[in-house]
Amino acid sequence: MRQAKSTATTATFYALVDSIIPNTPQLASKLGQIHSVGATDMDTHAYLIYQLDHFLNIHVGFSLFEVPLSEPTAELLNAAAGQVIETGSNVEPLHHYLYVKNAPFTMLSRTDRLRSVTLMERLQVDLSRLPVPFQHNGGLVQFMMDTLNRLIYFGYYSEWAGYGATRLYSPDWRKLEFFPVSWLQAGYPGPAYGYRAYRGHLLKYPRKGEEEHVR
Amino acid sequence: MSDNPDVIVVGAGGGGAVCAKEIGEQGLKVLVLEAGPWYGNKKWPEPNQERGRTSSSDPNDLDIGLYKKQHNMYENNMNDIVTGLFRWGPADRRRPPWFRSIPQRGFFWQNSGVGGTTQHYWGISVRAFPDAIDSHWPLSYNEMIPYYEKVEATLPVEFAATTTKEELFYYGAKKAGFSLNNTLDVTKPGYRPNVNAILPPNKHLMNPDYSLQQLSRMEGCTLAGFCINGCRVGPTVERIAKRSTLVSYVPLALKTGNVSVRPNAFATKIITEDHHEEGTRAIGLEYRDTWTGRYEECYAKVIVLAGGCAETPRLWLNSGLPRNPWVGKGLTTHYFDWVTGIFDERYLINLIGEPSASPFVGNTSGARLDYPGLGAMHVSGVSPGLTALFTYGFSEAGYHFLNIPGPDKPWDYVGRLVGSDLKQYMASYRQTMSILILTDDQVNMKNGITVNPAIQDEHGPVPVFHYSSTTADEKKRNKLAAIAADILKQAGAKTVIRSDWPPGLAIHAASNMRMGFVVDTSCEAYQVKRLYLADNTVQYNGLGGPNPTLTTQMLATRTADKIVEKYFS
Repeated sequence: MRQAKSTATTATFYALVDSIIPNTPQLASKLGQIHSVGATDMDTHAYLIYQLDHFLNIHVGFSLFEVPLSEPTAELLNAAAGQVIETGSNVEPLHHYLYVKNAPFTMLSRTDRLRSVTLMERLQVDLSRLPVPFQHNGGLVQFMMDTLNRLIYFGYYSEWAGYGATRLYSPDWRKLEFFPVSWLQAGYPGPAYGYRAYRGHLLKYPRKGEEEHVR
Repeated sequence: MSDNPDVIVVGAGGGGAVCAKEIGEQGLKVLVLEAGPWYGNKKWPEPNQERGRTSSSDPNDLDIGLYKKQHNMYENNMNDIVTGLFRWGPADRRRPPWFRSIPQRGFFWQNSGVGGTTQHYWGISVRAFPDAIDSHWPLSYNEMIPYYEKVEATLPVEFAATTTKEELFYYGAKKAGFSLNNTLDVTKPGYRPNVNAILPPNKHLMNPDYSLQQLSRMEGCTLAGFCINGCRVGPTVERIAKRSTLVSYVPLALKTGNVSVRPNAFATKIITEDHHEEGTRAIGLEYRDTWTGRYEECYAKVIVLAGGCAETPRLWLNSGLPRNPWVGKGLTTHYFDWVTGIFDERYLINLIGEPSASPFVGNTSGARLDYPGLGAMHVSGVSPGLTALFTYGFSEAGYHFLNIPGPDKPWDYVGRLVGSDLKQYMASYRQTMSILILTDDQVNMKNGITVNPAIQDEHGPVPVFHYSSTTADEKKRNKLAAIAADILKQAGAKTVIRSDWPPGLAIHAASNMRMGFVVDTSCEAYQVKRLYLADNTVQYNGLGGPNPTLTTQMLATRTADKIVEKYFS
């Protein structure tokens, strides 16, 4: 089985997915109960960790090595959060009661967490204080901040959570166990054999005698 | 047969498969090396779990049952960049994907496997704008037409059927002042159906006597949506509705009896020799079996590279071939953007008789607007995960709440949406219609692929991708985004969102081993004889904005003729 992640790493990604796709009980009365569900309920942070740890395969020394990226990436978010806290640039109060050891990112409000992601993606941080492989590597930092975002939106709104107990298996061993909540939220019916939705053709393709064009 | 091929083709994708079929048809023996797996082939019943056999050259190996089992159309299973069936990586999905170094926001979207990136392409098969060819390319548009026609008849292509999203798009485009362009050769702005390599809808589709499941086993599109997640509609592999080369040119190549395809074989080095008359010439390839890790070599009279815009220059650079400053450089990407409209249910009922724009129905893209001088755009309907990513999660502008557009902007939002805004708009997914912007971006020598010897994987130094837009490209893209926003508003969208995609996105990568700079008009390398290119790399420019696949297939058809003419007649 896969290696257990440190509490700080898990808590950091939990806080990140929660700030992008939070639980929204306020939408329940307007749109229906299902719309209160958010990314932490659907374990999107675990998806993120799986993806980051299965992303990079390069030669280190003489052998091919799968470089797990979740820990240094969490450290990256915490470095940005640390800078926000040190400089007092958080706009909303800190949530000391949410703090997880070594993960200052968890102490920030949702919008301040995204402000710290923004600092990082604009490279308004001290690049020398970042963990390897991000240290002095602004391009990689920007790539990673973008990748994190893309993975969260795609991970949550795709069927991944529906793999249930098999969601962290390697992909060939996953089985869809339930209809994904995010697809219910989107009103998407899932893959279909087809739709009786033909509304005609605006133009007829100019098919001339095909033989004369086949050389 | 594969021991002594006349020609070796690297890559069984959009270009390689075409070249292989055309050469095979002329009686020459062809070996195709493909880095990824082969789906829908009996010799690899579990292509992601077991090595299977070495190669296949028999059309009877194709198996529709296996093909459908493997293409389940679930978006994460199909298109996840790390674990998806269509990812750029080895067949064994327990292993990570192959790495590309991208020191900026963005990604390089390519598929491995027989069929290459056409496995998830949208089938869009439009010709270049004549004005982007004549007086720019070293070939004339007229010289291209017979080859275009041949590919169009072989795939075959059709004008796309109308579903709700196309109807909305036409309505908006017309109200925005554009007129219908009834042509394949576009010289003026206008809208038209997309020209797609998708079989026309099954003629019984609207007949309730046939169940949809029955229809999906017959020939003809069932408007099942999401060509991007693969297509599983059809009675046999070769009659699948969306015409990726996996189901079009590869079966035709096998039928020639002269073509053998070896999947799971990653080309790592071009082998050359110095010949007293020809000078430096290609004689073979070194490749690595992705299951066993064993390196092997094969030799032929001609080598054709068609691994795409990252791997083709990488292979050149990692093989130590003669230096040429244009190898890997000058890359165009159509500097994409994405503009989305959200409609009101009641409005849609009044306008089109349905409460939904149905982004999940019909061809992924069935309608387009061409605008020579600026580029093009097309309506796009993708599955919810991809919609969330493309519309709300991918932006150079960062988070919307930190970057609110001014009141004079034609869109209500720019940048990533989060929290209840995001969730409310995703709750309106069925009322969502997106438009993909394709900019006529200019060749810029700074953009493209290099290799970094400090970062290596099992196939050598990895490709490093860089792209930055110029002020001129940005101006064009802004104009196109404003037109798209206007079309959406005219169609009745109540909210318009511009995603502002980062420049570091390569989906329509092209023109980084350009004709006239790296290869001649036959697509043979100037500096290495008997080495031909048959992928997007050879395009001289971004075609003015039209999608690149058909033009690459047209050139690959022509290149096959040139190869036979020069070395085998």
